This record gives sequence, structure tokens and C-alpha cells, in this order.
Amino acid sequence: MKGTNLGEFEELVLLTVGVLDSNAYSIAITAEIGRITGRDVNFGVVHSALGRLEEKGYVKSELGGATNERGGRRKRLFTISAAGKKALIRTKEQRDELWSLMPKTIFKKI
Amino acid sequence: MSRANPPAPPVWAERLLEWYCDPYVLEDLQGDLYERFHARIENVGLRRAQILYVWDVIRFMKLYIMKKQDHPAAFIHLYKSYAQIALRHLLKHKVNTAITIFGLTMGIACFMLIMLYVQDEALYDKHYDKADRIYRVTTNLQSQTTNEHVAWTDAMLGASIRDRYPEVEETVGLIRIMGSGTSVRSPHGAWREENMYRAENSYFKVFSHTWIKGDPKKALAQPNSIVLTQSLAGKYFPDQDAFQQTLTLGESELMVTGIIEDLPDHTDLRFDALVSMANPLAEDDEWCTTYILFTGKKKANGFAQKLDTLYHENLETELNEANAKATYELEALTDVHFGERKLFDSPKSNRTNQYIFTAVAIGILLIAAINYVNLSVARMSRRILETGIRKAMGALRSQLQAQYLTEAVIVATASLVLATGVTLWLLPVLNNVAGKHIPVSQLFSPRSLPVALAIIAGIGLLAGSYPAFRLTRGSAVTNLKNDVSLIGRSRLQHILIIVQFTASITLMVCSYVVYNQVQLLTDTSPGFNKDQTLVVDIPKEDEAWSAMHAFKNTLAGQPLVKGSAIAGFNSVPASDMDIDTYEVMINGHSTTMPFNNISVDQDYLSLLGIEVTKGRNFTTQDLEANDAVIVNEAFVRRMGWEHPLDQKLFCGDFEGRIIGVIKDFHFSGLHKTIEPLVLHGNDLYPDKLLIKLSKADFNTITALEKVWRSNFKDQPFNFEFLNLAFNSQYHSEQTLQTILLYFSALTIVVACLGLFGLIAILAARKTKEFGIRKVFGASRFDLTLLLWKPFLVRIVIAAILSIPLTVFGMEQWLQRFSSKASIGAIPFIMASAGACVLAMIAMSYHSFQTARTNPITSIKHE
Repeated sequence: MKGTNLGEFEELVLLTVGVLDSNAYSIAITAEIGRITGRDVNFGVVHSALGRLEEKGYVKSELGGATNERGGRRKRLFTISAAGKKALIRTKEQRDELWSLMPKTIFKKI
Repeated sequence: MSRANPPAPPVWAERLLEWYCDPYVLEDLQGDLYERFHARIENVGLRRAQILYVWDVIRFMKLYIMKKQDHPAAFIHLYKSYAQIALRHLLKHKVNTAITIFGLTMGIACFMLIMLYVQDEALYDKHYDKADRIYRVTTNLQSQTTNEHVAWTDAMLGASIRDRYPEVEETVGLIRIMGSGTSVRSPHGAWREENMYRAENSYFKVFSHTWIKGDPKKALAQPNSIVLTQSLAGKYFPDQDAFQQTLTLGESELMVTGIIEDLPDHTDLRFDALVSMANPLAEDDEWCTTYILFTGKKKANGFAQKLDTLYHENLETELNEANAKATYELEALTDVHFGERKLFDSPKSNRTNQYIFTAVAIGILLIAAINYVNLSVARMSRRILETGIRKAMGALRSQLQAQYLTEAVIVATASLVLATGVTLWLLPVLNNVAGKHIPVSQLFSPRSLPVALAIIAGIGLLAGSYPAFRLTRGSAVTNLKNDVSLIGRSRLQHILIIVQFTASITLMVCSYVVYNQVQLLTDTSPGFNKDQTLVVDIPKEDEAWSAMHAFKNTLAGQPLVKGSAIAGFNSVPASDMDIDTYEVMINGHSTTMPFNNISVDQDYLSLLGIEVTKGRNFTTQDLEANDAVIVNEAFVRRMGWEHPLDQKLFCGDFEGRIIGVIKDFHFSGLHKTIEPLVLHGNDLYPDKLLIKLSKADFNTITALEKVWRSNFKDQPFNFEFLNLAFNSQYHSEQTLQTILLYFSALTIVVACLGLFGLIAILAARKTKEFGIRKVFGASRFDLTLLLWKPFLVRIVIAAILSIPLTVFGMEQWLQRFSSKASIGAIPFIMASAGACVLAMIAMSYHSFQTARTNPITSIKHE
């Protein structure tokens, strides 16, 4: 169904939100995705992905503490919502099922 | 804090972000960007971090970040609808739209054409890499009898500057090749070239050229080397590589040591070939064109004083003996083309004309834009109701404004596109009229883009903003009641029409005055008969000399030829005369003075119809003896002689009796006052052969050429018409005349088109009023007059306003002529009457139509 579908990049962002737990704000998320995937992740793309996830109801956000290095502005901290957790689990189950159906011979050659 | 001012991103970028960003996203996004900015300072430094910050801000201009307006849809989404509605409106009022777009197209096209011309003039000599550091030195010679600014200096100057001043990087001297040096022979034929210079080896250090073959450092180092332009190389050696081939120039054998690309049109130092110097220039006792290359841009400041010192050392003693003095003057290379034309100088443009052209271009654009404003303001009255309904349906003011502005921008863009087409179409015509070679690509140069955008934005905002702000101001109810006050609007229209017609009438009168002045210049007899006279180049080789006399004798037997005369160097009217120092007796004292002089034969005066008022003309004996001179009346007046025929002139070893006095004539055109002139009777250095024809047509000239061929085997028959050559001195005035004429016609057409559209709307609005008036007995004439009167009054006001403008502008322009055309009242009356008549024609269709309508139909109207 369009609108509630979880894209590959969105999944990555959502997972990272989970990983970072209480410090999940856009810059930290960007850095973490960059570190794990080794990709040069665009901040703007992460920002818009977070926006979409919030629209779909997979994350919740609140404004957190202000720091000096941010010019006195607060951070928007993200947490995974119940729907977000469900969506992640659903995706993982789908993957797992597909993995279990994979013929063993395919990987032997590698 | 440790630092008073922590590094911060650019304030304007932050403002921009705050302006477009949705407040819900703003705080944390701004914080994020700030954090990234600080992280970047560590990595890439403050400067780049700031640039990247700006880039971030720009990249975040996305729809989901943008401020949600206080209405459901962001205005961006409405653009499609704005465009659609705008197109519908434009198509509904086809005539109006056509007039608007036609007027704007013409206006923009004229603007583009004129600006292309002006820009092309401004490009002169800017293509050289070091153009901003190159200066030309000229010599301003003054004495009691002459006042001549010569484009040349003495040959020593360059060398003495080069070694002495550290701020001078290099100097170069060039001498134009004249006389027998101009005949060129290659294995493929013989030619005569006018544009060749001898140049010092330093030339290519100062001036950069694109090299096809050869080494700029060595090309002119050896004597007897020649550097050719590409086209000349192709002319001399059509099927082979010209590089390192040999040519004969005059009597010397030259080796081609370099081939460069042809010079662009906009250069003042035009040449087709450069020949190396046989001896160091300073040893040469000639005048040369001298350029200085400074080490830095500002180094030329104050150099004039150093030139004065050099003058004291080099020239002062010599000139003092001749009762003359001189100053060296410095002229930046890029200003040379706009400077005053000096003696032995290339043709010049002038700044006044450039300003006039620019003013005309902007004026035309303004007239066209005003047309549009006027029409759209008038059309607005039809849309008051529409706007009211839109408002009642919930449209916001900003949306309505956007609607009107979109319409204006669409019209402006369409006009710009059409105008580009028109410009492309007319560019060859302009090139033809102005004698230029502006390439089409110039129109699409990167510099044109901002201009195009400015035109669209300017016209769009100018024309669109009035209805946009005026019409949308009130509440829906005032609009629906059709209660929008009209006073402000009609006053604006009033002023705009006056501005338009003032500009048109001013232009018309100016073009009339310029036309008159050009007529005055070309039609006033310069004191000699310049019609049906050919000026033919005489071959400079010694062998050709006897053939020359044979040719002249053959001509005497030709029925088509009335006469022929031989003139020496610089001795045909309109050329730059030589100046020499003479010893004369004034009041019993021997005095030394410089005078202009020319060398002519016994037929020269009668051929040009110059009257001898005292004494007699030269005879063949005089020519052989070379001991006689003739002077003009101005000379006698200046000397205060009562018996000029008793006097003698001395010049070096030369001693000349004055045998005659001639009537004054304008040797150098009517720009200049007539100065004392000495005519030498000799044909020692013949340069041009003047041939007077009974009929100057193609057949006569072909017949002449045949005679020439039988006398000279391989000498080219180069000729020009004396009257054309003489009138070409007025080239810049003629260009101005042509351009003003076309464009003033165009402005009046555009202004009248505007009236046509305006009256259509006005007549439609007054339909009902007219019906009622008709019922009460008004005649068609009364009604038409009622409609026309305000416009005619405005044109009269415009005519009055145009008087001071024209007089001011034209007096400035006329200042440089010694005989001036008068401005007078007649052109104003004619131009105003013309404007009125054209305006009435433009207005007649719609007003008659309305006046004729049956009152029953018109009262039912609305």
C-alpha cells in the first residue's frame, strides 16, 4: 500500500533511530548511517526521510536540549513509534522468510 | 567566552532560511545547519564553511520545508492555473494582445540592436591580453598657424623611455609602409597593400595575437622578415603553406616568419602584415606610432610629467626654432577609439554618439513598456468585476497579485522571444548600415542573459504591478459595486502618454536636425568640385613612372575624360596634410612657422575648379624648375601681406616664389576651419591620379580600366570616388542619421499603436455615455472630438516639453561643427503636427465606430 510502505533508505534511517536511542537527531543519524554503510550520506536526504517517516507515523519527535554548538537552538529528537516498530518487524519477517526459502546451492559457489 | 565574535554563518543566508522555512521545521533545521557549519570550520576553514552553509540553505528550498501559507495550498501550486487564466485572457482580447506584444517586440528588438552596436563599439582593442596596460603616445603640435594633434611621435621616443623608467615594461614603434613599399609580389601575382607596418621586434611582447605558425619572440627579430595575417597568406600563396616562403616587397626580398589570425574588426591599429625593421628604430629619422606597455595598471598615472621631461630633452630646441611647441600626450589603448581623431589616425567613434544611441535604446524600450502599462491599466477596468468575484470566492490578495504578475511576465517573455527573432533577422541590415560585422553569436553571449532576465523582470513588474496592486486593494464589495476610484489611474495614463509622445517628438526633431546637418556637410560646396572625380593609386615603382605619363596623355584623347591631374602624398582633399616649417617675412622680419602643405601639378586646380584670385596657376616649366608655390587667401590674411606675389617662402634648401593666390577651400571637410595652406608645384613624389569624368558610370570605368591595362601590365587599378571618400569623413554623422531616422519612425508607430489600443478600450467604456449624448442631439463630430480632445492636448503638452530636451541635446551635438544647421521652430511644428495626425489616424477607427452606433443599441449596452 502506498504511503505506509517502508523504503530501503527509510528502513535504514528507522533502524538507526532505534540504534541511537535517546540521541537520535538528524545529524547524528546521518553520521551513523555514513559510518555503518560507508556511503557518503546526504544530510538533506536524511532530513526529508525523517520528515516522511514522521508523516507516516513511524517515528515521533520532540524538541530536546539546546546546546551552544547549535547556536542555542534545540534538537529534534526522534523515537520509533509502535507503528514504526511493527513496520520494522514486518520487514524483517519478510526478509527472513525469503532467506529461508533461498536454495542452498546458490551460495555454495561463492 | 574566549572570542568576542564566534564565527557565524552569513547573516543573509540565515534570514533567507528563516524567510522560507516552515516555523515547525525551522528551529531544529537551523540548529542542524549551524552545527554542520561549525564542524566544517575545523575541516575546511571558515570561508568555505560559509559558502557551504549558503549552499545548504539553497538546497533546502524544497516544498516540504517551505512555509505553509495561511491558506491550504502553497502559492507555488497555483502557477499552472495562473498561466492558464492569463493565456485565456490574452487570447480573448486578441487585438489588444497583438498590439502589446508587437509594440514590446519592436521595442526590445530595437534595444537589442542598438545595444549590440554600442557594445561592439565599446569592444575596441579590449581583446589584447595586456590592453589595460598599453598606452599610446601622441604629439600635440601648436603654433600660430597650425594646431595639429598628430597620432605619431618621433622615432627616438620609444627607445629613450624603454631604458630609463622602471615602470615601463616595453615600448613599440610602428611605421606605416607607404610609397613603393606597398607593392607586393609573390610567385602567384602582384598586389598593392595599404595596411602594412614596419614594426619593432617588441611588438608581439606588447600585443597578443593568435599564432598559426611561427614564434612570436623571433618573428620580427631578423631584418627582412614579414608576419602575415591568415587571409593575406592565403591570398599570396593560395595552394601552399606560406610559412618560410619568400615575397618581394618593393625592392626587398622578405621571408614569411609567422602567420597570425586575422585581426578582429574592432581594433584601431589595423594591419594585414608586419615587416621587421632593418635598423634600430631610434636611428630612423621618421615619425612612428608609439605604444608603451607599463608594468602595472596604475603605473601610467603621473607619467605625463616624465614625458614633458623627455620633450624638453628631445624636441624642444628644434621646435622652438620653428616658433612652435608641442606636448606628448598619453592615451589608454582602450580609449583610443573614442578619443578625438588626430592627424594620421584611424577613423574614430565618438562618445556623444554612443550616449545618444544608448539613450535612444532605453527610450524606445521605455515607450514600448509604457504602451503595455497603459493598455493593461485600461484593460483593468474590465477586470474589476472579475477580481471582485474572485475575492468573494476566497482568493487572497497575494494570489490575485501573482495572477496579474504572471500575465505580465508571460507577455514580456513572449515579446523577448519574438524580439530575438526580429533581431536575428535585422542584424545583417544593421551591419550593412553601420558598416560593421557583428556576429549573430554576440546576441547569445553570456552577458546577454542577465540583460534578458532584467528586461523580463523589469517589464513584467513595471506593467504588471500597477493593476496587481491597485486592483486588488479594496474589499470584494467595492470591486463588485464597480466602485474602484479611477482618478489615480487616469492621471498615471495622462503622464505616461505625455512621456511617450515627448520621447517620440524629441527623436523626430533630433533626427531632422541631424539629417539637416549631414545634408549641410555633404551638400555645401567645400570650395572645390568633388563630383565625378576618380582617385587612382599611382604605382610607386620607378619603371612605372614613364607609363604613368603615357597613361595621362592617352586619357587626354578620351572623350569620357575631362581632365586628369597628379597629386603628391597627402594631397588629395580629405587626407591628412603634411606640415613643414617655412621661413617667411612678416613686417620685414624673417619668421619661422609651420604650415600645412600639399604637392600638385599644373592641372590640379582647374580639375577641382579652384579659382585663382591673384597671379596665375602653375605651368609645366614651374613644375620642372620646382621653384614656385601658390598659397590660399587664409595664408595671405594671416601674414598681413598686401602684395603676396612679391613674397618668397623658404623651407630648408627650397626657395619658392609665390606665383598665385587661390580662393579658400575646405581641404579637410567642413568640421574644420580653413587654415593657411601652401601648394607646391611639383610631381616628384606622385601618389594619386585624379581623373575627371564626364559621366561616372560603370561603362566609363571599365573603359578606363582597359586603357590602364594596356599601359601597366601587372599593376592593379585601384580607385575610389573623390566625393565618396570626402563624404566618408562624415561617416559617424551619417550612421547617427540613419539610426535616428529609423528609430524615430518606429517610436511614433509604437506610440500610435498604443493609442489605438487605448482608444478601443475607452470607446467601449463610453458606449453608453455616447448613446445618451446622441439622444440629446450630439453629432458624430462632437462625440469624436470629445474622445480625441484629451489625447490631442497631451500631444501638444508633449511637443512643448520636447523643445528644451531637443535644444539641449542637439546644441551639445552641433558644437563640433564649424558650420551648424539651425534647429528652428519648423521641425517642432512639423513633428507635433505629424504626431497629431498619426494619433488621429490611430484613434479614428474605434471612435468613428462608437460615434456611429445607433443609440438604441448603445444604451442597451452592459
